[in-house]
Amino acid sequence: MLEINDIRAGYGEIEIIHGLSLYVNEGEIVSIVGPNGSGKSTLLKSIFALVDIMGGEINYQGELLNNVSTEKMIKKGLSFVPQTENIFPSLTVHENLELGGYVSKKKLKERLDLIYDLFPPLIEKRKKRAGTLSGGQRQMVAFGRALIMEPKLILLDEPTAGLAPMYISLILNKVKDINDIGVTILMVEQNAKKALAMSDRGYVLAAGEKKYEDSGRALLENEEVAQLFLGG
Amino acid sequence: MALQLLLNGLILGSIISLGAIGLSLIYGILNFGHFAHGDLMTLGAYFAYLFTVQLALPLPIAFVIAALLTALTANLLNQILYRHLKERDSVTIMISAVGAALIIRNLIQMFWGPQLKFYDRSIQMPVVLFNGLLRIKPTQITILILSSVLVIGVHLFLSKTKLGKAMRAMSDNTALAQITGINTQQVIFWTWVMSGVLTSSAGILLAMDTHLIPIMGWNLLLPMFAAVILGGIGSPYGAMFGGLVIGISQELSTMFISASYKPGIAFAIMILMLLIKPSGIMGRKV
Repeated sequence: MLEINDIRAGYGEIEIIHGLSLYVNEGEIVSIVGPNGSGKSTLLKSIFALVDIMGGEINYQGELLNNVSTEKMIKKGLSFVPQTENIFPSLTVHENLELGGYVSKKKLKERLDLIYDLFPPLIEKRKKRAGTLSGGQRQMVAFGRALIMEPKLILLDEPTAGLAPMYISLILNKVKDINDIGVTILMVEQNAKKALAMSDRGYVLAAGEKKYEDSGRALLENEEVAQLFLGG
Repeated sequence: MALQLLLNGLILGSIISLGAIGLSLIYGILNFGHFAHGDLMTLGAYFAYLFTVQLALPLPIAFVIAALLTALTANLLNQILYRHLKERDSVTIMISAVGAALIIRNLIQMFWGPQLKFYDRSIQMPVVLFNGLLRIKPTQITILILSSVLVIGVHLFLSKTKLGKAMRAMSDNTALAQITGINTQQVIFWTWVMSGVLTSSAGILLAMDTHLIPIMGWNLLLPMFAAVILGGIGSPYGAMFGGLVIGISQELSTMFISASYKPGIAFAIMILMLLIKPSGIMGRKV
């Protein structure tokens, strides 16, 4: 579904990702883990053209994605949920979701029903300003907004960053729920163990390069990975 | 006396609010203080003068044409000036806006001269209420009604239409608006249109209440900025509220201090707000 070949990306002159390749199959949950500063988020952002791409190819469903406008990517079924500031705080929850995409009224209602079904806590908050919600609920709003356009692949940048411990498992379970309705997931996650445990496959990054790739389970059981990157 | 001052403050406040809404949205969406906003306001008032006094069209028609022409000018400014400075820091754009302000003001002075002008020189009999405690001119009633209609219109636009919501969203978080697939160029265009229409209306209402003079809008720029900061930068509702507070406090202050120090009140409120709560009453960023 998504294939990245030898990508080099960064900001301005500074290259952060040094020739990295990965792929995502339809229906999978794929996690990218690694220490701080390893380029995980940069890699994810490069797919959505939010950083400068210096070389390499990004293919999505057989089409080259380099230099495609954000609007077109969204139309093609790609969605990106940033790590922070991923909601519009002064808009209501409902307005946040509505702005997820320009779809017909009937379609919007269908999608909203599905989203409120996935995230029941949002129902009673729908008229509240999103900025007043808790961290976990904000994340649900961000997920919901990304789901409006019926995406095929969602890119999640550290969905549990800054959340209280009680919300981490809850949000990761929601990621699983989203995958269960047929959406492929590529996520960057700090909670490496939890993320790998629920992923079909995973990549371990360090210093802008790919160190390991394997199934989530295999990476968890790999002693070297555990010692170096998962805190023993 | 307090009642009369309250009324005067309400009128001044609604005029400030109309200008401040656009100023706040431009600040939120394009991230710079639009220092030419006051002079766009003046331009709107003079456009209306051109059509209603010089070309003898009815004022309501002149009002609409002037609003549209000001909206056009606002977009022209963006197209030929601000758009090209987008990558520079906000101080550069701000200074260029001051330049635009000077150009507009001097063009107005060139075409219409520096003297006071009036839409209507006839003497109006005020309506006297509460045993003479409150005197209100028919024009002032029109101003209050028109500004309320405009504010309600803005509210409906911002809360009911997709474009209005996108405008608020972009003012909240431009980067997120982009990756959500909101057509940001379209939003920017309509923000200038709306700001142009509102600030032109404010200028016309101000000229209806008092008179036209090339410096009229520039004089209101500080109270408008104070309203924006009080309400929270980027928040259109904050700007509406802030405008009313500034207008009313300026007028009420004349009960205690000489009227010539009135503009100082806007300054004082702005500085106090920046010291106590820089994000404003309804905003979240500075």
